[in-house]
Amino acid sequence: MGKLPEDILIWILCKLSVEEAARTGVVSRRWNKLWKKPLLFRQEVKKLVLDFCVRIEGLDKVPSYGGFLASFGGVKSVPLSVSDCFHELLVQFSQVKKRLSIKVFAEVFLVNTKYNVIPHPELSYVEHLKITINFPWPWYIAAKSSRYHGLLWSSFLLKAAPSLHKLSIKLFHKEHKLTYRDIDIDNMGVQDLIVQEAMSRVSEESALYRNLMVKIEEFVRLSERDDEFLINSTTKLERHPNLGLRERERPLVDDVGDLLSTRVKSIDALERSLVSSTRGRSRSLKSRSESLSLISGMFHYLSFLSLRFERYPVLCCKSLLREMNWNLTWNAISAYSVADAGAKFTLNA
Amino acid sequence: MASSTSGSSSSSKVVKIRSSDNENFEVEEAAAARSETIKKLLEDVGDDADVIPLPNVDAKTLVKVMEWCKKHMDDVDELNKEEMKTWDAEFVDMDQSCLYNVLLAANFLNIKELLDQLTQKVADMIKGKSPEEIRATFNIKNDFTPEEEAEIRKQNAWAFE
Repeated sequence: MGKLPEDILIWILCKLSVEEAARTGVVSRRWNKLWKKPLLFRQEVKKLVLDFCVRIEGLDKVPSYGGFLASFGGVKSVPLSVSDCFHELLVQFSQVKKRLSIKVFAEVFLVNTKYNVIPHPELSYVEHLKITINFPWPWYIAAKSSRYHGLLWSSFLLKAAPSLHKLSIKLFHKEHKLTYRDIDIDNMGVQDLIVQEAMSRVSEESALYRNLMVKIEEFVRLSERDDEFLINSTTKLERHPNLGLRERERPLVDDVGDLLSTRVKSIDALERSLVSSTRGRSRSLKSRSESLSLISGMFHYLSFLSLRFERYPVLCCKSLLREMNWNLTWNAISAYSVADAGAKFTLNA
Repeated sequence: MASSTSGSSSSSKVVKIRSSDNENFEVEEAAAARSETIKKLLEDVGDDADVIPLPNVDAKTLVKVMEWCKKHMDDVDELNKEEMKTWDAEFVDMDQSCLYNVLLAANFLNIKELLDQLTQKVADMIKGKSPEEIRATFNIKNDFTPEEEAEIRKQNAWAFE
């Protein structure tokens, strides 16, 4: 039976549940290749992926699909119309729950922004909306890029919830186990501003509805900020003892600190200074791997900071490496796929 | 009622088909045309058709497949649905080598409904079985190294919960 042609086996696998089909992957090499193929096109899988990206409290079973996405090579490999699935998931809760608690994984934002804003169903009976966003990057980077407009999605939900009177939005930093509350935002002197903006935003969004008494528990307004704010919050956060910076980024943090003490006013200038200081440092280092990790640290930093087009950090790294006579083979589709790759450079000496 | 399944009197046209081991069969055209492959061949050659050779299907399998085709020649009315279900269930209940051959034949002859029933049968055989049991049932050789297998199990752990 194992010798059946591929199309018949796939037909058979299609009749199994996703879990059952996945179990057949352990049977043999051939089967391990087979089970994923038909599944990618199934509605169920799209939903599972979405369950993973967005966990909505109250689903009967919240499975741990940690390995699930890995099996498929990540969220982007699934031909997934996020808006459709999202809609379907939320529909389950429309007119049912008074309290709705949603956990959103960052991946979904990246996909979201590709497909623009998610349409939402009417959450007519929802009175308390709680949104937790698992954001793997420092939250402040959300403020600087249109790619993260997905973060503002939560405020779009307000429009769908006319009975809302309690809203809480939390950002949660997975790696550093930081939440917004851990970050000493009071001392940044901007809290008033944040709350003020959030309030105006909320009343704007909910103006059409009958209940204007929206109480904001926690709300981080993620919008455009001036460079100075970014620079200040950047350094303060990076110096936060809980942030646990990677070793290779430390010298850069010092550089940034130095640069700030000389009162660099724009991100643009900060970026350029960062590149030139990395250039100086990496030249003075003898070991190739050390310079490399320094450069990849710079890459991280730049991709957090960069207000420019996506490939800017990549181009900076490339030009630095070229100066040192290294040819870099680097197929970077986006800055973040490179960031994930970290120091996985393929170098031809 | 029962007689209605044994073929409609209006189209008693017969086609000849030949199995891979050179046995000839005469089948009602309406039955043979359940196979998209034969139907297409018939359309192509028209009335001149002498014998249609089916080089991929042996006689034993062909008998089995044609048995199904005869049964499913006419559209089933509501009353016969239950009866048909039982018949189908009994039909797919065959030993594995036979099932394997019929599956291949149904695939070659392109009989969607039969394929659907057969694949469902195999899927039912897989359901609820551990990978080891699946290997044993279908006589599949485990060509993973122990490390590889452990790795895949780890990766697919969510499916074993």
